[in-house]
Amino acid sequence: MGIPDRILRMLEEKKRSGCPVKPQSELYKDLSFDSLSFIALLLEIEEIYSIVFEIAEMEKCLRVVGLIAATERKVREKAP
Amino acid sequence: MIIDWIFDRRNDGAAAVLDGGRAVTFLALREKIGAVQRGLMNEQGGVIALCLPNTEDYLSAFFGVILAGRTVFPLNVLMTAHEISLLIKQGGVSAVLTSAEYRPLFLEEAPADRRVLLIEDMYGAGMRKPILPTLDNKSAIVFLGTSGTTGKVKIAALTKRNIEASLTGYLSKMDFERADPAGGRFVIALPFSSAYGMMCLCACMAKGLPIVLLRGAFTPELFYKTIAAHRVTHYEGSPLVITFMVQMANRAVPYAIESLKYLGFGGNGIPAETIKKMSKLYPQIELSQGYGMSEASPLIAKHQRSKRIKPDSVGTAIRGAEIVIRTADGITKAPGKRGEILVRGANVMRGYYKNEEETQKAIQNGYLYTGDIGYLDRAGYLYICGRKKNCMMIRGFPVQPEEVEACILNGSLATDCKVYAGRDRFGNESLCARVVPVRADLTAQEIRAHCRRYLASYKCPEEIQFCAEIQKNAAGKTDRKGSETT
Repeated sequence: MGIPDRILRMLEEKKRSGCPVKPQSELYKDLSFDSLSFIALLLEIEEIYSIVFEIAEMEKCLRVVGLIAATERKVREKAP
Repeated sequence: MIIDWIFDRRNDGAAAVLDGGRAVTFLALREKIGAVQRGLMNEQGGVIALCLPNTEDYLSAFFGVILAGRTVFPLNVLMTAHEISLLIKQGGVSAVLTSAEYRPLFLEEAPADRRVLLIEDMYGAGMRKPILPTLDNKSAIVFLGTSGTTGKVKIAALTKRNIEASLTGYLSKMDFERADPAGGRFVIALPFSSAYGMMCLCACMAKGLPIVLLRGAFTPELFYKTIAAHRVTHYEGSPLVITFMVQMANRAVPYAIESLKYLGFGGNGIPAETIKKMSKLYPQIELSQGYGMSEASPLIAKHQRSKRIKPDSVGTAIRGAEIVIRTADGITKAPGKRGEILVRGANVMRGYYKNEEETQKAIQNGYLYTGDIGYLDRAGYLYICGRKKNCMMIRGFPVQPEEVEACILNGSLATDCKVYAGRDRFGNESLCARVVPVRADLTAQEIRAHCRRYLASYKCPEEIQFCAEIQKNAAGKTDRKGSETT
């Protein structure tokens, strides 16, 4: 499964709102994530892909499209 | 004490609230409070609900309502219109004070005897000097909604004496004069509408310490950036920040956070191991756990500043409060005896609003029965080991499982269900549900979406499991023994 599909599926499973997951969805505002569930999500993504998000990079992950792009970028960066 | 600072003009030019690049002075805040006070003078009725986020408007509204001689009933902006509606009806609210942004939450609330007032209109009539009122020590000045089952929330009625007793206790533990002679700048990372938030903001205002607002989604970046930008020295809020600071410890923090010297927390049981790790990672940050509940206005116990903390403990009783343990053999202060925590003191509420039955259960012979299980050690430190009552603490908010269960069942999604507290990957309590679905293809997302329509997000189960039946006890009720951690 590609990165976008996997992350979308994770968001569908973890969101606590009835809003559909769309590229422009905001994790906090639309999908009812809070700080802890947001960090738990990032840590899970890090484990799956063996990557590490720096603190400043986490801000780019507050929107679905940004989260997917940041994950893809980190995976590309670690590739030999 | 709770309102004295409003009439002390010595710090007029000092910052009361720091909001991004803006500083709101004590003088400006006082005039806004005065505007709200004057705006409410002609309002009939006693109880005014307050629905505003953590901003300077909240402060001016909260104190303005009190100065107007009314009872203020803070409401959490995270709540849904449905939850707010129940609280307003039960609280005998005569008017709601909110802003244009939150006005839609009250669109259904339009009975002739309940007005919706906008803070913008209060200011529009002009800033005013506040007038010193006479507040007695017997009337309730604050209502706080506590956890309750659907349709029957208990409302703690707090007097000026109650709140000032808790505040005095907090200030004594904080020992600002000795521990922070240069003053400080506070982040209060909880809703001002909560009991804990209320205590912290009253303390900051009483001591002339500016409150730094957190705007936007609470992320590690926002937290660290705010500390650096405003040289924040003190944090009070959810212990979840400790969890993520520990989790993020192996990453570079691109902001200067050396100013942060104190981190106070309460709310839910963070594992002692996490606190120990935090102390090792950030030895310059003093950690201080406390314990309380709305019914105690709210502080019951806290660690004393500048004393070594016991990570498993919530500290010792605040000044003027007595903590005892009720065991099968009676009431005791003997160390190591486990039982229900009782507290007595001026901080204990007058009672629940219009609920004598629950008041008599909660307060017996002057003791508040907390519903929490714990014990004292030889030095009087209190340790919490569990809960007698069903209430869970999720993300620092009290949640009654019956309320969430009723919501699921009322949605015709399940024939039975059980809501309980599990542990997330960080060891914090998280909300879980076991559901007997009405149909085989029911999904967890549908249940969450349904809950979200009626309940605040922290009351929506994170983990949902489907099962064939829910275990019952001999009385035919949901068996909740051993539910608290799974």
